[in-house]
Amino acid sequence: MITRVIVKKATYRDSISLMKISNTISKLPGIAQAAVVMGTELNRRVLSEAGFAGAAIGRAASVDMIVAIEAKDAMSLVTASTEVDRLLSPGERPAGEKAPPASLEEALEVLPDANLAVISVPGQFAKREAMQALARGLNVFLFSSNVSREEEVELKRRAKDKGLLLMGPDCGTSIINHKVLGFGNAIRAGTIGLVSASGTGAQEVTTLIHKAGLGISQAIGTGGGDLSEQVGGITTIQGIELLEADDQTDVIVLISKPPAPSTMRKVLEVARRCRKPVLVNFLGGYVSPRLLGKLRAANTLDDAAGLACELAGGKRRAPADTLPEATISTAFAENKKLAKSQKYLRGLFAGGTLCYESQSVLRPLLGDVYSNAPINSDYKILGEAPSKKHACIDMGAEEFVEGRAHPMMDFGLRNLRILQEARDPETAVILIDVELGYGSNADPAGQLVPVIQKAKRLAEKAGRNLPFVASVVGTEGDFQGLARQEKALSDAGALISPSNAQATKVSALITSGGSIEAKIREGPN
Amino acid sequence: MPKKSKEEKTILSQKLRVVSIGISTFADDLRSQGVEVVGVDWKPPAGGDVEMSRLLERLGS
Amino acid sequence: MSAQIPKSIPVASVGFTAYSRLAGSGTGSVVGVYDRAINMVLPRGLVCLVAEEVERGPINMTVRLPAGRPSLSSLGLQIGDKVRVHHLTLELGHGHRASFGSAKIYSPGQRPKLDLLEKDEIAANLQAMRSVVLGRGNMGGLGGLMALLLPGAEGPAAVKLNMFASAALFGMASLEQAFHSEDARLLGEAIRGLIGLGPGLTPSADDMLAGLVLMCMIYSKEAGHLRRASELVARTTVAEAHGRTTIISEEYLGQAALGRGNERALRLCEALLTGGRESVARETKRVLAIGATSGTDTVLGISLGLMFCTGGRSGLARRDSG
Repeated sequence: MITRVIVKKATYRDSISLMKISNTISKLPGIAQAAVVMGTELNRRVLSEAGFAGAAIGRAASVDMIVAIEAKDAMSLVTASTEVDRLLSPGERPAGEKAPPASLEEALEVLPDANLAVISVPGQFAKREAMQALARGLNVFLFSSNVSREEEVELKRRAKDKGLLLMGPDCGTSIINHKVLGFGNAIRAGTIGLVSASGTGAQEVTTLIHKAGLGISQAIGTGGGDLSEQVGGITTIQGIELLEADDQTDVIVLISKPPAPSTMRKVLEVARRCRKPVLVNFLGGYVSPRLLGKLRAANTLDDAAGLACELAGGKRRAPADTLPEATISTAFAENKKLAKSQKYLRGLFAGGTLCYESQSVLRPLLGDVYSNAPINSDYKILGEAPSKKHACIDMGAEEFVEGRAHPMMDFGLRNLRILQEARDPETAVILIDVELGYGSNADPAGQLVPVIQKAKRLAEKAGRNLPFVASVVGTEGDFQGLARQEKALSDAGALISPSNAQATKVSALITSGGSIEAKIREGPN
Repeated sequence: MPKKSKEEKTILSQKLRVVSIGISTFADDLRSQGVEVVGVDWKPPAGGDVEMSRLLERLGS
Repeated sequence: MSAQIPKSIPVASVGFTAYSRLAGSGTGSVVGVYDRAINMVLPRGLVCLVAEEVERGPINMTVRLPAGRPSLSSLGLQIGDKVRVHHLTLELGHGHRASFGSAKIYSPGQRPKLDLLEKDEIAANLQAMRSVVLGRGNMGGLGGLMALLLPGAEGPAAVKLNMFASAALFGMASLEQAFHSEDARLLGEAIRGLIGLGPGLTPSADDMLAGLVLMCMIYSKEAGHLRRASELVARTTVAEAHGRTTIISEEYLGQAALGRGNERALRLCEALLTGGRESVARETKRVLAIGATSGTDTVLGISLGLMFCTGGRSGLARRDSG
């Protein structure tokens, strides 16, 4: 028998990992025993008495780790020692885990019947990876952005030829077979199927459907560029056809910003041929009755959720089109408390689609609003510039996200912006969206509450009352805890609305009070 | 509607078996939902680190 | 994505000792970095930042990590790195910080005096605990001594002991003798023969002693007797541990000597003294889940401590006395 003692400093391994390492080494061929212990006096003595020789033992201190190996022969000892060094070197994974595959090919050796590739590499490499995945017969969820339209077309044509689905590029959310890909929430299984070019839009609609007691069969993300003229809705059309043929799906819902005219025609033609009811929501974009035919249309996401539930045979229990009386009263009360200078609504959004929807909802109420991602290009302002008049800012836009994480995860910039708006004497109300679920911050309310409180104090010191309105996109199954999040925000003084459209209307009412009451009461535009 | 030449199973009727290429957190989230995932320790073919770090930052890595 | 640790790390709880060590301003050093724990030494002592699913305890700051269970080593900290604390915020470097001003302070709290069970009920609880340990304990440390030292209904068992457990036998026998005779010199000798022995970042025998000391301190407080004996063991253990073992081990022994422990160990002690067999089994399983061998070694110590306090004699003593 030969023995060797290795003394290591600073191993960064916890006891469980060390035990695994010790067990792994013990099981190597030719190894009689192996022990991994701290270099305390007693351990050193025990090891010495057990025959583990070596000056190294004597030099070890309590803070050092000793690996003691007893082997049958020199060869086994050398092999074991090398393995120990490898397992204990920084960055190595604990004993028992092999190095992960470095390519799709290697991954397919481990999982030969893989059927989906989730790709999130930088845009310039995305096409290559996606093509390889398609070539191997995998469907693709392509989160990567900065992929050119040409590349997108090429990828989607290839996918279609092979009968595969390519969700993306720039696709943030899909729910396939009740598993969330990317950002998304815990949603009940049901019979409503979505095809969505918008991630946050899909999140809002699915969570509202869930809250109404119904569920979804699939939510197929198509990526933000699918309905452009160049791409022509390839994935959207595929999605519609898949859902039409899917046994679980009874209702089909399309969600996106207004498509390019030629694409809209193509897509609606396919939709009209479905036997199943199809509902389209282009976020306020106009659809001619001729193109619509028997298809249903909703202008807001909550309306879409409600209508979808109705079509799926449920009672229409999603948020009403008009605001409840109690909410209107509350809004009026807040309006009365505003100082003379407070004239404008300020929406600060993590979800770009919600920013868009709010603008669309506000148009008939307050007119066009300024935005860094405006519906009306005359109302464009730079994201970094201070808000002007009524403004809805997309905090997930490129100028904010450069070098930082997305605002659903990192609240830093939005929090600063909240304080900025609070200091502005013209701010009447601050409107925010909060997303829960996979991909989002572990505790959004925890991030926002101190800032809301500080903002209110700032305004108060200057003699102003500053209301906050928030909608929380989430379900009770999300790990952040929907009830907890809403309560924390509510306790901090934010008014919670069940949907973004409602929150927007409440905010408009707070801002303008009686002058728009009639429009609010009229209901959906 | 395009004709289906044969009864092909689409992804909608299959149990998901995923290869995740890129940011590891996507794989983690899928694993926590009980999905079989193999993560690929992706590195750019040659250079391209600037882009990668931008994307990583965008996701909060 | 959700499995990245955010820059502002949400703090779920702060142990009362940790809080007093963190309040005020100061600079500390990282002394250990692991998947679920980061240990740092601040001017007033050791504080452990741990993932929430690791338990709460007097020197623990538990943090809520996102779904996906990212490793705390992904924070990029190295041993020797400096951390700074000020205004109730711990700055960990690389932009990470943990604000604990509004976190819940964990403190076992002033519970009303416990209604201790009768001796035979406690003995039954010890048997319940023993069964669980023999069934699912990790025998890599001193766990093998359980069957030997805590006799079951079938009488003392013949067990195969690993080299550490064998080495511990003499110290354990002396310990038992010294406890009952309140012999300080013998006690010191016994403990010197145990401190630092065994595998684990906290050596097995240290975990065992921590469990034993904790149980004795709690028992003597609740039962109102054996205070002197318990305090003697506690003091001696702390004195002998100094400089002979790892920092974190020393810290735990110090806490145990004050009757303080992490949440699970405390609940187990309480269950043994006042609860039924089901709660004992349940709490034992929870302690066994700690670390690799730590849980098992701690339970061993708790069982021995309780046995000493309730007048039991271990398999060793019986053997010695023939």
